[in-house]
Amino acid sequence: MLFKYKKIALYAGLLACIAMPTHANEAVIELELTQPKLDTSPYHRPYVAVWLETNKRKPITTIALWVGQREGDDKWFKDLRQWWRKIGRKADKPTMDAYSGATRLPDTYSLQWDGKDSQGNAVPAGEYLLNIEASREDGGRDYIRQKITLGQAGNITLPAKPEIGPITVKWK
Amino acid sequence: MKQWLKVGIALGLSLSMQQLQAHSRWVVPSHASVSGEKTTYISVDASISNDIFHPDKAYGGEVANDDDGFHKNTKLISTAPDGKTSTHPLTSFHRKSSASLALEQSGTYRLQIESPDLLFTMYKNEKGERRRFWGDKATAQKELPETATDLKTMQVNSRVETYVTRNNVSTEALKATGKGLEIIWKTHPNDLFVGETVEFSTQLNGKPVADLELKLVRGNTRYRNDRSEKIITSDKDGNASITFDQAGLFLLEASKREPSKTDGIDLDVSIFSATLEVNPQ
Repeated sequence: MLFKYKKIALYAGLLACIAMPTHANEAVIELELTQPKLDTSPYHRPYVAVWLETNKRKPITTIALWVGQREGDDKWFKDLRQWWRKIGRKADKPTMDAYSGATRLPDTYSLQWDGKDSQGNAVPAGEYLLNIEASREDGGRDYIRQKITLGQAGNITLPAKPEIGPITVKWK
Repeated sequence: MKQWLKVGIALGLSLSMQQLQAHSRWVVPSHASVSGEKTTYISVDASISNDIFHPDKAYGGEVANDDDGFHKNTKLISTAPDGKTSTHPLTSFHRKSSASLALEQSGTYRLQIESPDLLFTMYKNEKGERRRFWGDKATAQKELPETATDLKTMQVNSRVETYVTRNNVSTEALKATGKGLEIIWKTHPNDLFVGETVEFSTQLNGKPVADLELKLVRGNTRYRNDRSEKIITSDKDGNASITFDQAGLFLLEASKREPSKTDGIDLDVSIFSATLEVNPQ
């Protein structure tokens, strides 16, 4: 438990796009996301995006974006194909900088979403699509799209794929 | 122009008027979607080849026996996101022709291989065999023996294109030109994903083409026995749609002929080809 708290505290600062709630129970969506340890060499850390869309696939907000931080690394953003077409290619750099963080080492990470769209407006109850995408240089790509109904509390565990997962999602 | 190309097209005409494009012409970008704040470079390959997308013959540049300057006058034309067009020379590598391109703007570029129209006259010789003559009707009548009958002069124009987007997609470069056979994309051609329906309409000289048959084939035909070609037919208003069931690089081709309004030409033949990148979900 202490371990988990530490993680949340650590990464809260990096997920600057989210007005990170001080209490976990203020989060509308909570994710426990595992980036698997892969027995491969060289291992390039994957680019990972987590974002929310309407049930008509209109983007609402990016919850997490883990990408290379060196100058010119944006040339790989397109490899997060779904995030790129829905959000990335329409966003300017300062906007992306606000919510992007560095790529991560294999581990389990906690993510939270405060229920607000990219403009800071509260998102109403209803059906939404939670998207998780991971793409690794010299490796594979996985994309998960999960329907969730905000306003009807629920949870689901999405089974592990080669590049990402398992992912536990709790929403209310 | 190289003899094989002439023969290929003429043979196609004599065998089937439906499939005029005996050899596929195509243009393939190294990247169809790129990201980044800085100018990005891509390379572009063009070839005349039925082995999709393995090159067979050069398509532009310095080519041996290019007597009528077909290859010399074949160029890569880019239309930038702001609508400005520029011409890029192609270098021939025997099997293909290539160019490089700087994508200085964010948005969608249309890349097109522009080559001279082909003009020839089909006729029957004294034995009733179909033959072709490279030239217009007046010249054919002057130079062919009197035994030549059923002279039919054709002019073939081509639109061979693909699309490349740096950062966000845009539509300025995709505007209809009103010339030849073309596709007006309702779904953006750099936003193609498996399982999603792609909508477009067909136009010939700015007017919708009803019942146009378009042939769709996925690349790497070399590595399968069945080419698995699909025929898509436009409706009465020229509209058509495709739902891709596989990711990959696809070639979409069509041709259309109609009586010519030009003196000395019987038929205008317009051919279209577009290379499309389809992404996995």
